Amino acid sequence: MIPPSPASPPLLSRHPMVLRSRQPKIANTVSSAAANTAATRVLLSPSFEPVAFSDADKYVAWHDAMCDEIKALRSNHTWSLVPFHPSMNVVGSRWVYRIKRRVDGSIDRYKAHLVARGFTQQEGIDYSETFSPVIKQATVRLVFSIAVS
Amino acid sequence: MKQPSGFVDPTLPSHVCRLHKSLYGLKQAPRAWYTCLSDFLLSIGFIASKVDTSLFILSDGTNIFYLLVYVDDILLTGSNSAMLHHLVQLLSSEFKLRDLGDVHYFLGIEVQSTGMGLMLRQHKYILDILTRAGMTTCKPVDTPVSPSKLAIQPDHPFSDPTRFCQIVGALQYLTFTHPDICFAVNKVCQYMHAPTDSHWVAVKHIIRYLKGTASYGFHITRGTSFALHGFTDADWAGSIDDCKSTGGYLVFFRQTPISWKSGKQRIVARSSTKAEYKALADGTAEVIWLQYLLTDLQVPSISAPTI
Repeated sequence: MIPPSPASPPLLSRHPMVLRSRQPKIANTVSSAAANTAATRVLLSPSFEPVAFSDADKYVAWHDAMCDEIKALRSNHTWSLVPFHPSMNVVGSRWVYRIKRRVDGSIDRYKAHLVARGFTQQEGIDYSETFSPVIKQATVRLVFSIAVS
Repeated sequence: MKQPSGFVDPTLPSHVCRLHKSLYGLKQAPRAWYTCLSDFLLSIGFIASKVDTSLFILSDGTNIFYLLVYVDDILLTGSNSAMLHHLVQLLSSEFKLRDLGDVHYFLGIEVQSTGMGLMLRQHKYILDILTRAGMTTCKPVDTPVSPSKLAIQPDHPFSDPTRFCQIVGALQYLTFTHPDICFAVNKVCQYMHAPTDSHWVAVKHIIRYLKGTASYGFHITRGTSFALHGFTDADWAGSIDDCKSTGGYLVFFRQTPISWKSGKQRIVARSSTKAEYKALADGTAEVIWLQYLLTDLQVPSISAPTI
């Protein structure tokens, strides 16, 4: 068994901005999930939330979380693979890692979330309408008022 | 979309993903969710209200059900508990959901049933604001606004404008159950772009007022008559910066205030009568909208509203 390789957890940024250096490296993106065998991953349960894919992929816990997410996305038929064409605007994606804790602070589960980088979308190509209505406060109060009588 | 990191198909590495469904983070993601939910609701017989599209109504002649949607917070109420249960079952067959039973908490608002009706409170939310502002031990005051008027000031900018905006934004949501601070919050909101120390003092004044009234709630009482009463008022040239007037309205349904607003008028009124008329017009528009809403909710026999 290989001992935990990063002795100290990597520096985590406190700001939401994604630095280019923190993004997954291209070299990692082309390696398939199967290429990294479990033997090269750290079994220890990490207590920090990594920012970069390359940091997270070192841990079995995070890797399993990503596999679960991909499995869920596949079972929902979220996408299909198509050949790239230059007319396409290819939107990036990112992994977001969150540790879900119980009330007492102990770790409940590791959750990996695949999100699209919406700011790289172009209006007209990738989306047209984005408006989504929410309820008006007055409606909530009025319905409550009718409900009590 | 690019293939996700770590899960690139080894045989087709140059392919891209054509999305059939929306993903978190896409611009259209909230709309896609709303469309998905509303399509399902319409398919099981609900009708979307025309005046508030997040309100869905199901009626079978004798029973009526209302369903409020706030993104993924859903409130369902109706006149028949067996059918209500059936509707929850229908929803859970399509979506993964948790039935929280009777409403205790909706959109961060504590809902408590009393003998007389319902009590809405944002007690915890107020305590959170007090903590965020570092004012948990402040001395309470009796009024939300101090008598001195606020104005744009080029000097003495507030040291942390982001914090100002965060606290004021948090206060804005508090007007949901606190019509009493509506005017005060609206005033400080007008200086979000360039807050100064004096504006911050005004914000602290509101927070000190909240400290004294944190446990106060908003009581929705039972009643038999279905009448709307509107009240409007305006000052004249209340704003020092541009001489515009501030107007507002408050609409009661039975004994319960339902809708309120305070805001700077868009036009410069040359007489106090004009300012009052403008407020009256805004209030009337709101009352008419509420009348349409009541019609959609199939509330019987609404008497003519008074303003």
